[in-house]
Amino acid sequence: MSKGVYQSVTDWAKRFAAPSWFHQKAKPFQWALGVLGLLLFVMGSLWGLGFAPADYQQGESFRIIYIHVPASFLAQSCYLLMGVAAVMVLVWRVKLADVCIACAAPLGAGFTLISLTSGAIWGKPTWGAWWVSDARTLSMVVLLFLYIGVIALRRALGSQPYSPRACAMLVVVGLVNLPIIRYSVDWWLTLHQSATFTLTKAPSMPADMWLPLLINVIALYCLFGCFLIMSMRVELRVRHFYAQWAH
Amino acid sequence: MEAVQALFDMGDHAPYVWSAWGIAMVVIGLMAFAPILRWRAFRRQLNAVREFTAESDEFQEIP
Repeated sequence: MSKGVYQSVTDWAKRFAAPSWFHQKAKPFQWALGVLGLLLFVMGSLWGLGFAPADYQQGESFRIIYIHVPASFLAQSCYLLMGVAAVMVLVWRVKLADVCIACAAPLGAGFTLISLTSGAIWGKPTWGAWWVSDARTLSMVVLLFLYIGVIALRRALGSQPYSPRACAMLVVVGLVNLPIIRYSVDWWLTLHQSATFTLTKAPSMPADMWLPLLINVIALYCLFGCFLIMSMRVELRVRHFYAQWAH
Repeated sequence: MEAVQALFDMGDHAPYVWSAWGIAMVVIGLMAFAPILRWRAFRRQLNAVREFTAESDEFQEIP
């Protein structure tokens, strides 16, 4: 990479990491993602709950998949995002990345909670039990504890100068859980079914079943983006209340 | 109305499906409103401090 390109990328990154720039430029994306996410979510949910065919083995309870799988995707993706932000905090001391961790942790905890509760409810008619302690379910519980740990650590440290680095370190350590969640159904013998969507194989379900699922996955990603930008803009305004751009 | 009911009829599995979706909707709703509520609470607190400092004589004088 030539010095000119490197310099322009660095300059762009510096400008993007400036709280005032993010606060101003992210606003249209917040509303666009919110509206798009809501429309897609209504469409995907109505399709999944009313029009998609029932599973030949599991029957109607199969429709829980349209909230369980998107929430599980988000629970893991959110932690991955926090991991990237944590590296940015530890290596480049980017303040916006710390704001991102602070705002993403409650959202990730929420999606993990949805994944666990919908999974437990789905387990009762399918497995005959609300809870089965297999590798996938336990690693998701560990993910929830990691999110709660990050939130609790941030609350405990408050505005201490070492608070961003401490939280970032906890996030980086917790990254080890992500491949465990992903491959738990392959490494160990579990009750939990294997991955519904993979990048390398075509879905085993008919299009009528996986299309609404894909729509809901995209919808929840859009809604997550909207909620994250909303939270980050509020956090920035609270942290920089006396700055001119925050009004 | 009956056609809509028939479309969303889940039979014996209805309590499971709707409770899973209900819990998810509540959590997603909380995620959506949390930043709005936080900002409103912060503004309320800040306005209270501003009113207090504007009314109090102590804060009008330069020490």
